[in-house]
Amino acid sequence: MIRPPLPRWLLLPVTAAVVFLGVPLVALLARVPWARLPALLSAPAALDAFWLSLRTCALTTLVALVLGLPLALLLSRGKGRWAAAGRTLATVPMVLPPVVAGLALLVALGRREPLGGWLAASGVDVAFTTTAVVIAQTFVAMPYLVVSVEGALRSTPDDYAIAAATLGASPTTVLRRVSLPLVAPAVASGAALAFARALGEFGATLTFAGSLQGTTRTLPLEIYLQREVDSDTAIALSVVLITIAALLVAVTARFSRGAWGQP
Amino acid sequence: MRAALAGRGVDLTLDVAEGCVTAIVGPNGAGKTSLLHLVAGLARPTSGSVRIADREVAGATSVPVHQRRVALLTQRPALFPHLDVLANVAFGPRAVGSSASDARTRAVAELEAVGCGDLASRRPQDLSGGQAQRVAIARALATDPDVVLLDEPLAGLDIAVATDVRHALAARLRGRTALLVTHELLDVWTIAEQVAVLEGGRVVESGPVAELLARPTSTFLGRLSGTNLFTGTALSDTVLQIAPGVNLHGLPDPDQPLAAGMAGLASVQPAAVALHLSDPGGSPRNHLAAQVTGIEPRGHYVRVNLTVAGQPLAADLTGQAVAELGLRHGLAVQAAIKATQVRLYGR
Repeated sequence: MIRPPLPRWLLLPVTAAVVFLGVPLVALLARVPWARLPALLSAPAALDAFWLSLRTCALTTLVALVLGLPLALLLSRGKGRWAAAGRTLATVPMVLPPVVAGLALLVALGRREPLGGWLAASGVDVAFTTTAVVIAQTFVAMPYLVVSVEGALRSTPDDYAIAAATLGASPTTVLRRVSLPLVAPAVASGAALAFARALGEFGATLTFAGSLQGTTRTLPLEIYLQREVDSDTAIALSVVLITIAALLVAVTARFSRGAWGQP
Repeated sequence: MRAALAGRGVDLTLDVAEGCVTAIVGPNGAGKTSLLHLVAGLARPTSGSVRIADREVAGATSVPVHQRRVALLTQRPALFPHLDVLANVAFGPRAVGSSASDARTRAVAELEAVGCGDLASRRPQDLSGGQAQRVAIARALATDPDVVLLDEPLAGLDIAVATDVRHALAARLRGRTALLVTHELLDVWTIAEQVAVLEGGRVVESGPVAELLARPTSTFLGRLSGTNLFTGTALSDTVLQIAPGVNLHGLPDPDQPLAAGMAGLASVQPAAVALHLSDPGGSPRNHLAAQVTGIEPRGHYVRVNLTVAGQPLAADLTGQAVAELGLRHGLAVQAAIKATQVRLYGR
């Protein structure tokens, strides 16, 4: 089937859009000091930031899976006011300005606040630690996983779970062997999205966790800092982030096509 | 199994004999699917109770779906797309605690029983509609359910494919307790031994299939396919005696041929029936003495209701023909039907 063609004049705004999106990336890549790249990236501050980002983002993804999957499962079954409220709560961090998210976390868990003070008194001091980085990243990144998985669960026909239950599978078995495997592609792409969002997190981390080399200064924070001191390092680190982002996009695209065709 | 239930405008009392297939028929919205859901545990009765093999599964106590030992087969095979065919069939035995090798052995046997032994390593996405439904049958029976619930299992299939699957289903359900919801008279005749007619959420008629089809009051069954049905005894593979001295000649169904002495069913489309005031002679093999019991105009044609040897017969004629013949209630006429328009089924 040949679809009726789009009007030719669309090429004009399309070209503008491509240029608009492409120029900054090309400009950045053009400025990369390729020869000095290994040296710049192996500087202690750069390495610290890189490993901290990787570690905290991996942890964030894990926490988002452990907390986000059950939430998505429950929300996908929910109807009415409570489910709507739950869904709003789960998605608000996506649209919240990150600095506001950081402030909210600080007000809740800061050392001088009631809850944070109580935690500090019990020996758990989270603000301005690596734990705080993970908390800030999870707060902003988990919704991506929840939304992605919940949508997939909702669009899965009920008859698979019904068939499994009538075949004698307990609710846990249905979840483990049918419901979750069916949405595995969405779980993977949701996790990739959450990881990507965590990797780029700046505002909430800076506000809630601060910027301490090796402890809370992740790649975006290091890039922001180096931008004023040594723009070559900032650009080199940006290349690292662009590479990881490109990989994650590829992963997401692979899974959003869906691994299982509907029979 | 005994079910007395209420809920969603459904108020059913139904006794289903163990080890036999009961067809559930009735107009849309009669509560057929609700009945299956109540038995499966997918709907909770507001009052009443459901018992399967003397165990109460709904009512005062409520047994969750996965512990009811029921199997549900619907129009959609719902094979798990992330598992291959063998793993789909082995799923049930595995879920109830069989070892992997036992489950596998059982799955292979069930697949072979429905003629799908060679599909074991296929993905559900690569199966045809008929194959997928056969695999779904194998999967449903692999757990030895106490009751098999079937909700129009053949409705999604092409006619030719449905015929094949119908026979596989009939063979696999023999001796099992099953409830079969269907709109197809052929399903009732081929698969079921008992039939219950539901209307408005209530059971209005129930009994052995042959008995209900023979009873002229069973209007719904007659209307089921829009086809005339005659029950009787086969004199040969092409002749069905529908009353002493009244024989119907026809063509045997290739899948369920008649044999002399067998209980049989004949189907005739109303449009294939011609009416004459006196015996016309000529080529039609069947000339039946009939009496007009009613005339209903239906737009472009007129439905003439008749009785032949105590069994109902509908004929579709043009308004012009009705006028020329001067048809009226109580008139004796001759119904002529070509033998090639009569399909004979054995059982």
